[in-house]
Amino acid sequence: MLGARFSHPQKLSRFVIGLLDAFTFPIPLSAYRGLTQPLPTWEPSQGDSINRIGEGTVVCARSDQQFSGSATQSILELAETAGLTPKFGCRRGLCHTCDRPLLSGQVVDRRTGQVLNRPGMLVQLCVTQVAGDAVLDL
Amino acid sequence: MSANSQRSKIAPHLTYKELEDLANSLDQIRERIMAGLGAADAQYIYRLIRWQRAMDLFARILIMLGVVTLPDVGLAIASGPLAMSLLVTGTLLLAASKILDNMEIGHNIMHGQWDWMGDDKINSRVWEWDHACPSRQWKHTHNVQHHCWANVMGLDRDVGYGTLRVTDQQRWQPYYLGQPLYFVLLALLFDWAIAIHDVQFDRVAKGRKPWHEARVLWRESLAKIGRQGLKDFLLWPLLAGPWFFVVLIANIVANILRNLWTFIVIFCGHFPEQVRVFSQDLVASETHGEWYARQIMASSNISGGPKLHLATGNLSFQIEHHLFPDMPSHCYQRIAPEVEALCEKYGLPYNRGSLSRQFASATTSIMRLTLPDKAPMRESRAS
Repeated sequence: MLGARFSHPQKLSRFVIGLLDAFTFPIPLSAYRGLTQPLPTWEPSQGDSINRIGEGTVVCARSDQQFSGSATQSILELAETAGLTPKFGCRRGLCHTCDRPLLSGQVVDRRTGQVLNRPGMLVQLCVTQVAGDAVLDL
Repeated sequence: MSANSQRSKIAPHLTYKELEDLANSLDQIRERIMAGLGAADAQYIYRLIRWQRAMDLFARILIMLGVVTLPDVGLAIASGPLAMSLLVTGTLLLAASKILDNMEIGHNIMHGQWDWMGDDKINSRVWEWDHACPSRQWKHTHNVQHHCWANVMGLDRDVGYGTLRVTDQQRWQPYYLGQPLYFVLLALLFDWAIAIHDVQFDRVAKGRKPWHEARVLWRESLAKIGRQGLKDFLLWPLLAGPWFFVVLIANIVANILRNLWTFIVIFCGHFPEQVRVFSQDLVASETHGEWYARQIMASSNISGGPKLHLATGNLSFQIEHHLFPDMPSHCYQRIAPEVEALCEKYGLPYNRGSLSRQFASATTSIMRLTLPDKAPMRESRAS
C-alpha cells in the first residue's frame, strides 16, 4: 500500500510537504521561509478619483449578475434587490461577514468616503456604494 | 424637535440629541484614524507577524534542545539544569508566541482591522490562527454576536459562554452551584470551549437548535481541534522519540498558559461588577448613538504599560475596541484620551482599572452569583 502511495515522485513530495505543513499548522511553511527576506512594503493605491456616488454598474463575476448603482442604497441592498443572497451579519460595517473581494474597478466606503480600488481588496458590501464600474467576486 | 429632546432608554441621563452628538464625535475619530493609515501601520503588522513566527520556531527549537541535553539522553552536552532551563524557556516562549498569534495578530486580523491594506494573506477572509476554534466560527460568535450585541442577554452568547452565571439577569438554577468548578475548567480548557461555542450544545439540548444544523459546525470544530492537537500533542512530541512525554508536557503547559491568559483578559473586559448588561427589549430600536453608549457601558479597560497592551492584543483598550472593532488595534492607545474625554463630557462610565483589580472584581462577582440572590438586584446590574 505504501509502495503504491509513493510510486510517483510527485506524490511523495506532496506527502512530505503535507507532513511538514502539519507541523506548523495553521502557519504556512512559506511564512518561515520568508523570515530572512526584507519585509514587504505597503503603498497607497493610485488614482483615488471618485465618480458621482451611485453612478456605474457592478458586475458579479461568480453569479453572472449585474446591477446599476444607487445614490442611497448600499451594494448589499442592491445585490439583494437583484435577487442575490450574500451572507451578512450586522449590516452596519462591523462584523465583516458580507466582505467580498474586489476584482476590478472601484467602490466607495459610505462612512469615510474612501475609494477602494485595489484588486483583491475586501469590500464590505453593507457599507459601500457604487461609484464607478466594478467587478466583484460575488 | 421633541423626539430629539426625549431621553434615551439605554442611557437615561442623555437625550437622543446628545447621543447623536456623541456618535458624530466618535464617527469623526474613526474617520480620521482610518484615513491616516499607511505604510508605517502596515509595517507594524508585517513586523509583528514576522517576530511571532520567528518566536514560534525558536521556542520549538529550544524545547528540542532541552530534550537533547537531558542527562538520560547521554550525549556529551548532557546537563540537568541546562535541560530544565531550555525546556522552561522554550515552553514560556511557545506560550507567548501563541498569545501573540491569538490576540494581537489573529483576533485583530479576523476583525478586518488590516483589510484596508488589500493584502492577499493578511485579511479577515482567509486568516487562520493557532487556536482550536475555526476562524469561520469565531467570526460568527465574536464579530457578529458578541460585538454587535455586546452584553445583550440572549444575543451575546459570550455572556457566561453558556456555562457561567455572570449577571443576576441570568435566572439562578441549582446547576450554577458548580460554578467555581466550571470557572476553573473553562479557564484551563478555554480554547476548546471557544472551539465548540458556535455549535451551541446548550440550545441543541433544549431542542432550540436542530442537530443537523449544529452537526456541520461540530464536525468543522472537531477537524480544527484535531489538526491543532495533531501538531502540538502528537507530531512535535513524536520528534523527540522516547522523550515523547517531555515535549508533550511542554506543549500542554504552553497551551494552558495561553488559555489562562486569554481567559483572564477576556473576563476583565466584560465581567467586572460595574459593567452593565442589557435586555433585548431595550436594544430593539436603539440608535447609532445608543449603540455607541451601550458598547462603552458594556466594556472595561485594563491600565498598564506598552508590554501589557501588546500582551492583551490591545484588549486592555476594550472600550475603544468595542467602539471601533475594525480599527487597527495599535491605534487605540492614541485615541483613548479623546474617548475618555467624550465619556466624561456625556456622563458615561469609562471603566478602567489594573489587571488584578478588574480580574478580582469579575471573579468575586461570578463567585457571588454561584448562590441565589439574597438581596434585590443591585442597581449597577439592573437595566
